[in-house]
Amino acid sequence: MSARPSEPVPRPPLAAYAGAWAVLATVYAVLYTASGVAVFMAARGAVAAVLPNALFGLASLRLARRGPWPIESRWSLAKRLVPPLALLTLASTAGWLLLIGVDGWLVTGAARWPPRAIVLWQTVINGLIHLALAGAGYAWRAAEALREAQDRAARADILRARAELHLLRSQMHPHFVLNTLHALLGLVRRDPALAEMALERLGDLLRFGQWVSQSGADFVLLSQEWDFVKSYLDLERIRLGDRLIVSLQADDAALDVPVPPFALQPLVENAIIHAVAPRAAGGRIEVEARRSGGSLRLSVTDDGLGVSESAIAASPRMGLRLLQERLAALYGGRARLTCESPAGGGFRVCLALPDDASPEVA
Amino acid sequence: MNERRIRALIAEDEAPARDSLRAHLAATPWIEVVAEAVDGRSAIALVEALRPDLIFLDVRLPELSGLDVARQIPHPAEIVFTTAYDRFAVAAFEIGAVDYLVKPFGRERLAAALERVRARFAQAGVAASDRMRSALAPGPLARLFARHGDRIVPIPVEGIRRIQAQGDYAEVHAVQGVFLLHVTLGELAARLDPDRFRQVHRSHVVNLDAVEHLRPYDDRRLAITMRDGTVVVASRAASEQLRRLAR
Repeated sequence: MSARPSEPVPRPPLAAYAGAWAVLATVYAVLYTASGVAVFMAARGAVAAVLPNALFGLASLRLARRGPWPIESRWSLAKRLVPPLALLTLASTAGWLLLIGVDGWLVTGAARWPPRAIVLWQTVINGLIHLALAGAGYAWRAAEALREAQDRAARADILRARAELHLLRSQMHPHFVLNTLHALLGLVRRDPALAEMALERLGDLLRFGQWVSQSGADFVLLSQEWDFVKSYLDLERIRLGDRLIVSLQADDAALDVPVPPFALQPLVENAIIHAVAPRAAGGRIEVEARRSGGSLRLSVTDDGLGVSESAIAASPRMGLRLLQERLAALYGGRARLTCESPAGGGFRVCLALPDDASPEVA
Repeated sequence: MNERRIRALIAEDEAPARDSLRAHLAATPWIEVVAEAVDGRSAIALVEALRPDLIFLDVRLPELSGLDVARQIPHPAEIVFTTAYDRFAVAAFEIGAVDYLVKPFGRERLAAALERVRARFAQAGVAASDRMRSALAPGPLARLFARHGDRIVPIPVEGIRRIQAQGDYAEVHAVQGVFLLHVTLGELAARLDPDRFRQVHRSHVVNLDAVEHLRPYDDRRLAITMRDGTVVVASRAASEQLRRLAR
C-alpha cells in the first residue's frame, strides 16, 4: 500500500507539435521563394532546415522532466542545461547540413554546401529554438506541479474535515471512554490516587484531540504524539492489567520530527482491539520510532493472531485507510504505510515518513 | 424472599470493573458471589460446574462474547448484562426483557437492577437465559418478552396484531394487551417473519393475519382495517406491494 500520485496534466498532442513545425517550414519556404529560389527547391530547403530541429526538439522539451523539481539554483540549472542544449543544437545543424548535402548530391550529382556565415546563422537560430523548447518544457512542468499542489490542497481539506469527524466519532472510541470511566468509577473509592492519575490522563487525551481538531494542525512533533500514546496506554493498562505488555522505543532524534497528529495512536489502539482485548492471555505490543537517512520509521507490532493480506484489503479498516489517505494528501507519495502479517501470527504496521515534513499544505 | 441466598457469577475481564461489582455485591446480603470469570470460555465452564442462579455478564469478553455465552450456557439462569452500549445487543436485551447495566454504572443503578432481579426471582417464569436465547436465535422470533411492572410477559408473535412506532419505542398491540418495548420499530420488524408481518408505513407494522379487509383510500393508497377496528393507511409503496400480494 503506497500513496496514490495525483493524475498528471495531459500532454499537448503530437499533432499540435507537428503542426507548429509545419507552419515554420512554410514560412521558410515562402522566404526562400521570395529570395528567388524555385518553389520545389525552396520546399526541400525548408524541410532540411526544420526537420532535424523538430526531431531533436522532442528531446529538448523533455529536458525539464529529467532534472530535479523544484528547480535548484539558477547556476546549477544553467550548468545542467547547457551541455545537452549545445549538443542538440549542433546535432540539428549537422542534420540540416546532411539533408542539404544528400539533396544536392541526388539532384546535381555533387553536394553543395552553404556558406560558413549561413551555417553559423542557422546554428544560432537552432540554439534559440532548443532553448525555447526547453523553456516550454519547464513551463509545462510548473503548471503540472501547481495543479498537483492544488489537488492535494483540496484533497487535504476534505480529508482533514473527515479526519476531524472521525476523531469526534471514533478516535476516542466511545467504548474506550465509557469503559475507562466505568473503571475509574470503581477506583474512586478503592484507590483514589490511581483514579486521580487516570482522570488527569483522560483529560490529557481529550484535550489533545480537541486541540488538534480546533487548531486544524496538520503536523505535531512526534514527541507530542508519543506523549499522547503514552497517556492512552496508561489508561488501557488500568483496564487490561497484566494482559497488556507494551514496549515503547524511540530515538531521541526521531522525537523532533513533525508527523500528522493521530498518526500513531490509532495503530496502537487497533493492536489493542484486535490482538490484546479478545485474548484471555492478553498480548504484547511493540511501538518503535527510528530516524535514519532522511526518513522516520514508525512501527506498531503485535503478537495477536494476525490477518491475511486479502483480509486486510477486504476489511473496512476505516482507521488505516483514512490514515493512508491523509498521508497521501500531506506528503504526496513520499510517505508509505505498509502492513504485514507473518505466517506465524502477529501483525505489524509500518509508517515511513520523510523527516523534513515542511507542511506543504498548511 | 426465603433464606436461601442467590448464587451469582461475575463474568468480567477488566479487573477494576470486577472489583467494583464484587464490592457492591458483597454489601448485598441476599446475594452470594460464587465465582468470577475473566473470559467467555471460563464463564461457560463455571456456569456448568456451579449452576449459579444469576450471572453478571459483560457483553465484550475475550475468547467468547457475552452474547455467545448467553447462547451457549446449558443451565437456566437470570442474566444481567453489563455493556458500554452496543445497539445490537441492547435490542436483543429489550426483546428478551433481560436486565442490563450500561457502563459506567455505580451502586445506585446497580441497586435498581438488583431490585428488579429480586422481584423476578419471587415469581415463576421463563429464565432470562432462555429468553435471551430466543431473542438471539437466528431467523424470525417466535415470541417476545415484555416487561410489565415487575413481571415479564411472554408474547407469542401470532398474538401480535400490530406494532406502532413511538419514537425510540415500539408499541406492541397484542391479544394480551399493549406493551412498550424500548427498541425501534425497524429493529423489531427486522426480527419478525416477513410473510406475516408487513411494514405498511414508516410507523406501522401489521400482522396480515389480523387484517379484516383492505380498501382503496385514494388513487394510490390502501386503507387497512384491522380486526380490532383500527384503520391504518398504507404508504404508496406498501400499498403497491399489498396489491401484488392480493393478486
